[in-house]
Amino acid sequence: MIPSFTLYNGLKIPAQGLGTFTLKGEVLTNSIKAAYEAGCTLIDTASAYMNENYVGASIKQLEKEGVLKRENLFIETKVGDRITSKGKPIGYYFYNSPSCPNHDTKKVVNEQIESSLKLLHTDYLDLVMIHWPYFDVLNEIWAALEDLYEQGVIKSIGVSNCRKRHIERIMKTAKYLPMVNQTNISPINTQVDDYLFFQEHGIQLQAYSPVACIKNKRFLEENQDWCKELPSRYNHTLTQILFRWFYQKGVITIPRSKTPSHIAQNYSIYDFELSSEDMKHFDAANFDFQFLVESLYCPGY
Amino acid sequence: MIMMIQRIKNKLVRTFPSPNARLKKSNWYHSLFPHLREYERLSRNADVICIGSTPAKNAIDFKGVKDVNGYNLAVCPETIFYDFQVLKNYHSYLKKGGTILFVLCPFSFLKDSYKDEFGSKSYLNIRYYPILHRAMIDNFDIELYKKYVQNPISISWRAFAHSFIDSKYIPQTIKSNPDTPEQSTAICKDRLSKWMTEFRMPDLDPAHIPENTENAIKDNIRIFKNMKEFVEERGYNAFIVIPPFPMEMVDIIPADLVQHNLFQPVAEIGLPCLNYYGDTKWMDRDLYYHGFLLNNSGRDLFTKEILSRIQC
Repeated sequence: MIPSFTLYNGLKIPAQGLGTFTLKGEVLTNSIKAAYEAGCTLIDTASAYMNENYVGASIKQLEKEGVLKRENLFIETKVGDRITSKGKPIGYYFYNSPSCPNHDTKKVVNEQIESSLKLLHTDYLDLVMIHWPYFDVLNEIWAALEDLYEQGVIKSIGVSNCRKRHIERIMKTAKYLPMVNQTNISPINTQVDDYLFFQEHGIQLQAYSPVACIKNKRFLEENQDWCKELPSRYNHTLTQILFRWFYQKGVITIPRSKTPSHIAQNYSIYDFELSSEDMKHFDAANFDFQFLVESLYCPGY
Repeated sequence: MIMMIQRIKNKLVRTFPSPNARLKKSNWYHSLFPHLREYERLSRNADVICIGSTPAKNAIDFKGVKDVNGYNLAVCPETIFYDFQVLKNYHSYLKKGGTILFVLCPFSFLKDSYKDEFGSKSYLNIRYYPILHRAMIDNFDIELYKKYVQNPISISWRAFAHSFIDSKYIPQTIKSNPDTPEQSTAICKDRLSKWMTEFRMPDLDPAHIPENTENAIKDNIRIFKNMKEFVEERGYNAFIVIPPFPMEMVDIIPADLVQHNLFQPVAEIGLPCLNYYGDTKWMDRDLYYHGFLLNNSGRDLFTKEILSRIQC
């Protein structure tokens, strides 16, 4: 069973979820099934992933087969810009530029949420985040999400890829603070100042691409012996040990996997505990690794 | 037989290149369109980036510097508005606490748009299509972009003309000054006269600068102040760099005009300024080309000088 964290509005959120970026069709259905059977009830998607219809269809099918129930799931999605086939945003929404054809932010947000509800075959969403802190209209998007939260269509609202400065900007006009920030935090990019800020304000951190750290050449080279020794010491894989680090830091992870055996392993991390020395060793591995060049995805980031 | 036909075809293509091929080799094309290679080879955690227009492109070059991960993202010519757009789009390549160099010259603040000379609002913006997020580009037009990629001479009559009249590319890598002192002086005078026309200045008296040019200065100061806030909010270090000019150029621009056009706005912006304008240590003619631009040797020396000043 995967434990939960509690958001500041009282909503329980699972400590681990399933990332679905680029997954679709049968592969996605099998992943959701394997994850659910391993105890994972959190499913992460986004309007920009262009797979909400597949996520919805998979859930519907698995519900029909009696595998899962919607009310047991925690479905989260994101409002954001359209993206190209290479994953780059195209500036269709959320910019004040004359090149951007849509300037009614509230309308765009409402339409995206309406579309997400329809595609995901649900009448509520557990969490909706802003995909990137769009420089020009961040506060307007947040206000639109707050309205939907007050209407009860969304059970919690959050942001993604945000730093301290973005939250401070939202705070200037917000009625509610973001409840979640989904970002790329990891032992090689600990963002200590931001981490402490989010902790202080009760903003739940969620990490995407959590495994990237142990695929990083520099991390593996600098921690070669330690990485070799850890699995035998804890009787778990290095990936599981890494996930455990996140859990003990209070950070949700949403690994993506197509392989049922990997999926099951990803969520089997609650029968051991990392020592404070090993936690510190992970923390000390930081070299401010940049996973994404954020300003390419969100100019003005 | 097939191979022979292919060889003849290749020779014909080399001897009589298509207008598009000629255009891409022209000096005009190379000077106007940003050097994409610089943008393509960017790597993360950069120590320093350089932003600006023609003076920036010719003042700073990190290729000869070891142990510094630096990139010159200048586009020539470029307005301060687009300096900010480039910065917004590329700043995340910088490491935490990295450094940004804004290179300026006595006429940088006078220009707010290039639409007048080219008769089309989008024409010069096409240069940004391959390098900037489309929301950063005024009047982005995807059809125009396809034309630029597939058939560049069709984007403007100028491009078509340049494919015939300007086919010799003068590389920016020139290491010495090919001009005599007389030629350099003539080039500087000619350039100043072109600037005066461009900015509708009847003479070199700052009191006679027309209202729309004065408004451009005010607008650019406002944009620069926003850029300063942007940089500070993200925890970067920023410097304004005023590169050296040869005596031939310094002598013909009145000091009060430089004060009004450059030093006053720079003081108003309040960023630390590394000023080399009129610096007698940089008057050696061998450091320049095309009258007033630093050549490869000058650029190397100047880049090292700046890096030592900012302790990078």
